[in-house]
Amino acid sequence: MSEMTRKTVNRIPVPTWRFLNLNEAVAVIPELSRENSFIGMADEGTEKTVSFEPGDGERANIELTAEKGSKLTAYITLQSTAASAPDINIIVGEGAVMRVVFTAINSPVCVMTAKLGASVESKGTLEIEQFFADSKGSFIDENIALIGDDSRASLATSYLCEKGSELDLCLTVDHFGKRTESEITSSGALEDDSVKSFKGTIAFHRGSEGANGSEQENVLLLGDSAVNRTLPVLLCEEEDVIGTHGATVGDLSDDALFYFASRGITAAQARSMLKSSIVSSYLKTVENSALKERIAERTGVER
Amino acid sequence: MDTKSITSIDRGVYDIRDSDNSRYRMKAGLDKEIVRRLSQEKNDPDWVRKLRERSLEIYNSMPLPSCGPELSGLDIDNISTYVRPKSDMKNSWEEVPDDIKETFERLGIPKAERQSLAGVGAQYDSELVYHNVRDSVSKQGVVYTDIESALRGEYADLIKEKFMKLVPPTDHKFAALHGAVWSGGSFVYVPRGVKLDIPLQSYFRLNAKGAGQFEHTLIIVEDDAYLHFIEGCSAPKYNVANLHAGCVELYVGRNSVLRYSTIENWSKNMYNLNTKRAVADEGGRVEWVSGSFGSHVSYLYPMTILKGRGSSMEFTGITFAGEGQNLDTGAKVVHAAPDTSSVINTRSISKDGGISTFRSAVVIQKNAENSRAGVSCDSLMLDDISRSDTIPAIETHTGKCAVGHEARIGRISDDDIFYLMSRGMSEEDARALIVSGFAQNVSKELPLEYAVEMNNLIRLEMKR
Repeated sequence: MSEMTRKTVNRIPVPTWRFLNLNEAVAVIPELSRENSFIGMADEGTEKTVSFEPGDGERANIELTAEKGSKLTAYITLQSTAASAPDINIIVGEGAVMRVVFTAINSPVCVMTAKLGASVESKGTLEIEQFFADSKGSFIDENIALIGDDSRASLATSYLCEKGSELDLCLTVDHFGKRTESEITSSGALEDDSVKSFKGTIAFHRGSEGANGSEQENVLLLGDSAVNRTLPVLLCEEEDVIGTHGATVGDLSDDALFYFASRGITAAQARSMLKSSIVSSYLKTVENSALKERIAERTGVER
Repeated sequence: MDTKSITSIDRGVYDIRDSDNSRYRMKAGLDKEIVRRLSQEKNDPDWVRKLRERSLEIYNSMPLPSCGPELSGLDIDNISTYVRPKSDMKNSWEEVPDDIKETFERLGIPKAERQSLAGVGAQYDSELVYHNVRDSVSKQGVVYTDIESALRGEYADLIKEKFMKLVPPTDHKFAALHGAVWSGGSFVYVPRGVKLDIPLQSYFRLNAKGAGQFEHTLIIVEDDAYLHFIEGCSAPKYNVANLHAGCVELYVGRNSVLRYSTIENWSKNMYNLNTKRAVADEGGRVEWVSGSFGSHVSYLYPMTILKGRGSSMEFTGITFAGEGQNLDTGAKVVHAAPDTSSVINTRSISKDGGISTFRSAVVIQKNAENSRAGVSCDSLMLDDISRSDTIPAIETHTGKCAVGHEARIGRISDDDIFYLMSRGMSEEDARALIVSGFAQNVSKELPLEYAVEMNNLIRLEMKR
């Protein structure tokens, strides 16, 4: 059996009260002895699609680069049994577009620590769509720096946390350039005994005039003993910016349940439908049929 | 403390200093001997003396807070924790020494008492110098007195039962400091069924240079009652640090309402490390109204524990951080019973390099089924050298609840300024008007005189 190591991960940029247990997370993860690397690159002015899936239990170093004016689509898929540790580094060049579809459908007993760091140059665009199925522990730490003027990033996360699973999302976008734009969205469902922490930070640094950043989190609580923690943070040292964030946390409202009941749909069926819709929304972003099948099978949701 | 960083506009009456004519001033610093001398000076009951000693041990063992503005400019070895003014407590303004009375006259306290208050407590440095309550209020069984007299009177047992139980010395380092050196403050008791139509007020004035104020306010509102309590504070500006580490503990009975309003206007050399906490029984309601305009550094997060079914809390606040200020403010609420609700609605403004941080926590415990919470925080940046952060946290332990949160950060719209200027206003007046409107969420909750004071403070800051 692999040796277990304790790692402190997902430290937030500006700490809050200790009693909230949000400043950092502790992941107990089996030691990973095998490493794998992948480089995905679109040369200047070209279009390319790449995909990579590390082997079961491999530590993966992934470099994705979209050079000036290029377009790169990257599918990163994880389906490990016991442990997974991808480390993704992204460079989006001037005027380039990169789309990353990051799917983690590890086994329910898997522990994953994922790190992602990205920099986006002038007029570059980075779109990340990601889905995390329930697992024993998923610790996601993503940092995007909008360093060039007019650069953009969107980070759309969806997840299902089922019995006994833990998900810790630490997502940060730093606005450095002028007129930069960011959007962080997160939608998911928590069932009994699951624990989820969302720590989203949008930071407007001095000089990021005209920047616009928004964060939205929607959490559907499907279990009486689910634990949800939400920390949407806005840090601002520039006057001419617009920053917004919103969060909604709860079960289906009484009005919504009544509506469903009036259509012959029980509360349990309604909750199941909403859970499925979270996965279905993500499936629409996945063009690969085989991957769609695997996600549907892993989550028990029909395609 | 970097004296060059103490800049302030002319704050008129707030900055007038009385000469230092204290009767007694404790030497600066904090050790067992100082705490022992303080306890002797105050002729503490035994349990208070022991609380002070235990609190000092806790203070010495605890680290500084791990989040919030830095406190490197605060050196407790340079703070005198007790300054006794030359006057004992009076219940007639005529008996208060002239210079102290004139200070409170300039601040409008006696006038407000005559016109619109049910009772007033005025603290000067470490002790109350004036305390009075209208006969009509006393006849209803309302008690409003200085807390140190109450320690020895009819309510001694009740105070011993409640004192520093909501905010124990172990809560954080400055709660422990308060436990060790507290002095002055008020005790309020509102009997069952009594609804006080006009407010009570306490006003805290820290005149002494390099000193601390550590007043304790304990309010107990029994079932089916109502109270509005107003707290004001100010201090003249010095080029050394002053410290305020007061404590407020509020107990709200069944189906009662307690509104606690504060306009904080400490000078910009003050470290304001205040702790306020309320607990509400079944159907009880706590309303916080908070305006934070002063201090060099502030840590201020009134907290409410919704202990009874159907209890509720509303927090309305505004913070204005100007040059040399780092104000970390917000609110905390714990839903600890079913059917509870809370609303937090705050605004913050940053200008001239000021730093404003909104920090909140909404915690919904497992047994708080059908609870609802809403948080809204808007921040206004008035230039590109200031800073504004929002750090709101939500934690839920039950699936049967609903929480919503929204926040916005931005600047004054150029279109709004253009519109007002096209109506003949100067740009300066237009900005001041817009900012006053931005602060309206708080001003409309205050009695008129305090809303006027708050708007005056905003105008003073905007005219820099």
